[in-house]
This record gives sequence, structure tokens and C-alpha cells, in this order.
Amino acid sequence: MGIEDPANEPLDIDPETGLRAATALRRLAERVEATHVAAARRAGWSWEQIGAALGVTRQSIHAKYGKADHHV
Amino acid sequence: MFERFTRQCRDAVTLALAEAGRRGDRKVGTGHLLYGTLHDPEAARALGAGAEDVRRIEDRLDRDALAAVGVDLQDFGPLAPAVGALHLPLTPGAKTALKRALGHAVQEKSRTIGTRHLLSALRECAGTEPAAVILDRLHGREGS
Repeated sequence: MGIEDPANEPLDIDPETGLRAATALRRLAERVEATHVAAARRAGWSWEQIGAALGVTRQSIHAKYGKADHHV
Repeated sequence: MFERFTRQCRDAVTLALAEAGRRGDRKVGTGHLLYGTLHDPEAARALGAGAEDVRRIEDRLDRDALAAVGVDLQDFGPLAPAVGALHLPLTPGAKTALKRALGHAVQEKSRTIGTRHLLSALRECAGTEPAAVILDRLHGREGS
């Protein structure tokens, strides 16, 4: 998927659906992240490794997922 | 303002926060508040719909919107719920709804703010505000 400027091309999606898709993709990304952080922990990854893979600090990823870690 | 909330209304806000986190949203909006409010059987009876209906509609809207941009949720296999931050801010719409709930309580000369006041405030949401979109669907004003 290339990055194109769609300004001159008619979109066949109405704004309400298109904007909803943008927020739905963010929600989806959060669920994909939660799923695979849990999988990485089960596979023995450290918070350091997970943070580095996601481009965030070990502290921020642990603060977010550390609590859930007890019941996965 | 929160100290004047009834226990049910506090629960509604707590549930709204948890739901925003579970869905992967960054802020608590009027859709989440509606979800939380409808856990109170009295509010659910008044509206004729429950929290599960809100979830079903939200999921359906997401699935359809994603499909419209070419993303099929089924391709992702089973996914865990999102894990939100402990403290999520309110959207501007949610702040307005809470202020209106207070207004309804004051108007009624009620010392406490209940789910009934919050539900009335949420029903006043209009346009593209999430609670309005969900309520439109619930009442079948926009097809299924």
C-alpha cells in the first residue's frame, strides 16, 4: 500500500464511515498490541525487549501491561 | 460534582472507564458512559436496552467501518481486549454530558445525581456524538 494523495480522487466512503474506520483501526491496534504483548511475555520476553520492539520505554510498557500480566 | 453522585452513577462512570480501556479508546466518551449507565437495571428499563446492546452496536459499527476501508477483522484471529491506562481523560462530549446531568439534578431539586439524570443528559447528545449514534441505532432510526 503506497502513500498517495487522494485529494483529487473521489472516495466512495462517506465521512462518518471513514472517520469511524480511523478510530476503529486505533482500537484494533490496541487489541493487537495487548494480544502480542501477552504472547511475548508467555514466550519469556522481558519488558525491556517488548518496550524496544514497540518503540517505548520499559517503564511505560510495564505500567500499562504489568498488572494484567498476573492473570495471563 | 462526583461526591454528589449516587453509588449507581459512580459505578456507571467506573464501568465507562473500564469499557474505554477494554475497547482500546484513549478517552472516555459518551458511548462508554451510556454503556456504564445501562448497567443500572432502572436505566436499562427506562431505555428498553442494556449495556450488551451498546457493545453489540459499537462492534458492528467498527466491523462495518473497517470492512469499508478493506480491513477484515476475521483475518486477525482471536484478539485479547485492549488494556487501557489507569486514568483516561473524558472527551469534551462526555464532560458536557456530566455537566448536563448535574443540571438535571439541580432542576429537579435533587441533592444527588443519579443514572436517571445521566441517561437524560446522554439522550440529549446529537449528531456524531457517540451516544447519539448508538441511540439512533438502538431505536432503528438508521437501519440495522
